[in-house]
Amino acid sequence: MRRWFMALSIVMLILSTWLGLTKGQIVPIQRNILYVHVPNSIGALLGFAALLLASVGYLVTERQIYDWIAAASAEVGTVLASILNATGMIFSRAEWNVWWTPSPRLISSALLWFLYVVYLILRTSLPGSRRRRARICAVFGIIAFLDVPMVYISARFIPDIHRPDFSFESSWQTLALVLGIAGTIALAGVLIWLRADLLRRRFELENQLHN
Amino acid sequence: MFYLCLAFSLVWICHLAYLLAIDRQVRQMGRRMKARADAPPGPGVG
Repeated sequence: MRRWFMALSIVMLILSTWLGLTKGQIVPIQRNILYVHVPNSIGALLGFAALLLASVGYLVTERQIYDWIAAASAEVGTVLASILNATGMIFSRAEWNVWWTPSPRLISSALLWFLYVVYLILRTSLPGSRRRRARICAVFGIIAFLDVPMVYISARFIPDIHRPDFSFESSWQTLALVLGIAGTIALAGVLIWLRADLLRRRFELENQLHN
Repeated sequence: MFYLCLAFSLVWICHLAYLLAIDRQVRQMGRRMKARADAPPGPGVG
């Protein structure tokens, strides 16, 4: 099941890349970076939304599964957020000739990345019991999510170099972007599933060894 | 063109590197589970 999802997501990403660079090419050429930048930004934000839901789930029910999902979502979200920031910087350099500019969306995106890196560091370095660590991380995960709406709305309400809306000239371009978004979300979902399952197995193995 | 290639390469390398890292962890966990299953009962298996 997981392998099928993974294969499907990779096929969608390859198709999106191919369509984006051939039939759905945007002019000037550097704007085709959009086909990888936008899907990864949506994937990162959904990863952090999954972290928020899992953190709330853990605080309400104290079931261990939610803690594993939160850890997996944070890790996958951070990978996608790193890609989001890196491709954003490359696009900025190609389009506006600067690697970085202090615009609201760029600052909120960088802050988001730092918050989730701190979350991952907290998970590995907090002393005390597993339960205490999970509770503190869940609270931090909920607070860190407050930056996600800032990333989304910053370009809509504050003057920014980012254009909040863009339109495509052909349906191939729309298809390439939709495939990219669907492929990235599917890949992120499978990775979260795989990582959470790994954490569960490690927990079970450690329990077996201690009993 | 250079920046476009750079962005696409970066995305694919990051995705594949992360997939490979998780795959390695899955294999490692499988080996540990197998070692645990094969070992005689009692402490001392790591």
